[in-house]
Amino acid sequence: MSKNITLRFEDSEYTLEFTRKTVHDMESVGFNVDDIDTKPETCITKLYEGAFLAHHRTVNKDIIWRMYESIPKKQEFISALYEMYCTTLNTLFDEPEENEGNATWGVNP
Amino acid sequence: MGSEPVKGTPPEKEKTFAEIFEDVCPYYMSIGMSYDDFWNGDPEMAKYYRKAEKIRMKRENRNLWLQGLYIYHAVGDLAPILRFRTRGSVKAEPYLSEPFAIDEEEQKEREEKSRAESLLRMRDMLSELSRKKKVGDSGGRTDSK
Repeated sequence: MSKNITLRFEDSEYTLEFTRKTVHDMESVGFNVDDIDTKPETCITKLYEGAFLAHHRTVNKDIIWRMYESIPKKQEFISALYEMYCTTLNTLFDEPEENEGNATWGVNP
Repeated sequence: MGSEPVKGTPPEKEKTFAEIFEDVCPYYMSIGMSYDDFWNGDPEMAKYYRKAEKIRMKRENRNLWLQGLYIYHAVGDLAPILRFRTRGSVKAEPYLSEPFAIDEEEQKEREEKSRAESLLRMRDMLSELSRKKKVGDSGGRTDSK
């Protein structure tokens, strides 16, 4: 199962998720996930709003942004949204097999 | 110099997610994923459709190999009558009486069945021999009542 985020705010529960259709819709109005480095604020805004399209297309933007203000650990939250967004593409291709002469990597402490 | 056109092909524009989705959607539909599942379903589903397709290809490949094996055996069975200038008394071998055993379990079952049939035949032969010996010992006479 792919990941999704459940937000609880003012006695309501919201499921944030990306489907290929919502990603397609976001790109059709100019969203480009590659802008996350060059235009982070704009990109994050659209990424967050886009996460509501799959299940909560009609939710008021005022509520969406009041919710955002109250979300703790925003950086982790945005990273999770970014990963969910990229999953729509990554799941279409196989991961390279291990030990096929590919590069290796590891996180340094 | 002037305004000569630049030679060579222009660099390919990197495709957007949406463009890639549109490119691969027909492939996923061809392996059984519905349009709705592809666009609106869980993105992870695509991974399982790919794995299922690999399993299906392996099974089809094995079926085709098995079919080839049956054809090979059938042609071999017919070979005696396919030679040029065969004599009238030459006959084809009969077609396989049962399918090939396709796994170890089935192979073992057949071997056990064959062993049991051999034992039964031997037992019948021994009974017959024993009966004939008894008749021979008694001089062929049988008591009449």
